Amino acid sequence: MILLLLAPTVVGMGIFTLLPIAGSLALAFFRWDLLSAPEFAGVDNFLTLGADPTVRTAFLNTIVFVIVAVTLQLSLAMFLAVMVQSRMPEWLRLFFRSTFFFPLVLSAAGVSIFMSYLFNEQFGVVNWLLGLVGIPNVPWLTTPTGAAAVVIFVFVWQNFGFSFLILLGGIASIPKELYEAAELDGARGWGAFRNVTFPLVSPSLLVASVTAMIMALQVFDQPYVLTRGGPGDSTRSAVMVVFEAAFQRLEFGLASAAGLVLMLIIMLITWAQFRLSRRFVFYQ
Amino acid sequence: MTTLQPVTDRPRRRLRLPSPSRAAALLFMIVAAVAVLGPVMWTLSTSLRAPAESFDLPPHFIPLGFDVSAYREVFTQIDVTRLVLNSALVTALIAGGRCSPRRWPATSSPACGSGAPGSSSPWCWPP
Repeated sequence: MILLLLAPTVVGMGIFTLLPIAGSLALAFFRWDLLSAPEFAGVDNFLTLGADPTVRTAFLNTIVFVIVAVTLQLSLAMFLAVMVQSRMPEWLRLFFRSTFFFPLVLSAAGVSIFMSYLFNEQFGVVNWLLGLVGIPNVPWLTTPTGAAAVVIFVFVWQNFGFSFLILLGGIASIPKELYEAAELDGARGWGAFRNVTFPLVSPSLLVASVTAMIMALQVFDQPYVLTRGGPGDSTRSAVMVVFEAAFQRLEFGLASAAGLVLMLIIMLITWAQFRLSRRFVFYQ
Repeated sequence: MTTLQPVTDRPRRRLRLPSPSRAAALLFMIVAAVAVLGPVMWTLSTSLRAPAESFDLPPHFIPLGFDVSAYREVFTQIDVTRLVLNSALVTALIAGGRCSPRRWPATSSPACGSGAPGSSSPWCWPP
């Protein structure tokens, strides 16, 4: 009877999740271009990946991107969540909550397109605004650093609302009495944050941090649409390597190998976060 | 204790200005909200502008020449209905695929055993 109840989930997951994953893991050890039969290649794909400087740059870019973008995203989200949860009229709180979540409902490709217009060197509004305060035109998308900055900004712009919502929920569930007790002990503002808010929001922060890192490690839409990899390889991300190997060069084995490596990196970082959470997350 | 205090004394309402840190926090939130909504508003106003003045600086948020030709172009050049239907179909399949396995426990819920309305609906099969 139990098997019958589990069957729909198992069959569904099996066909649409497990089978493709297993298939792609196996494909990493083959060479296949969709036209001819797959031929076994052992660890050749992995050796090719290791030797290719573009791939190394892309993975390095992704790691750096994750560190910068996730730090920015989580700090911004935490900052805003604390502020939005403080005392204010309900309609204003609703306005801020909706505003900060709004970018997530937009399509990432569409966002990247109009952001590329805003950051245009000659006609972009951003450079015009900077010009108002006397800063000369910044070559946003045409230099490696500028392009990286724009990709990070657009990614954080779009995704911080997700972390914000998770943290907001966490902060909203902290009982008010704890703040009153803290105030009696003389802790207000930063003290209250450090001793009450931060420990009690740490479970939500773990969730927000894990999801933010996984999403950042898989970044593709923003760098691909904004810069196609940037001047040279400066904004090429790991998933872009997979995409380009698969759909531009029809090297599906190589792409699967790159995807496998990325998957292992993501699993490692996620495991590390859960390991650290034992020390830093406070569960009531 | 004098009881000659006039009863008609209305409590004076003092205008409470926000403390500097509250004001700074509010300012930060407003700046963040502007940074989030600004680009979206710009995109919206650009879509309603004639192409020639799209990139005018300073950007006028309320378009001078209200022009829906861009929207007309989109609907003629792209089969929007088909694309929207495709997205809706994919979304429905994904959502349905994720929800439906949980329908099965409904067969053992109290409502299915009784003769109450809904107990003979497809959700209660198999008995």
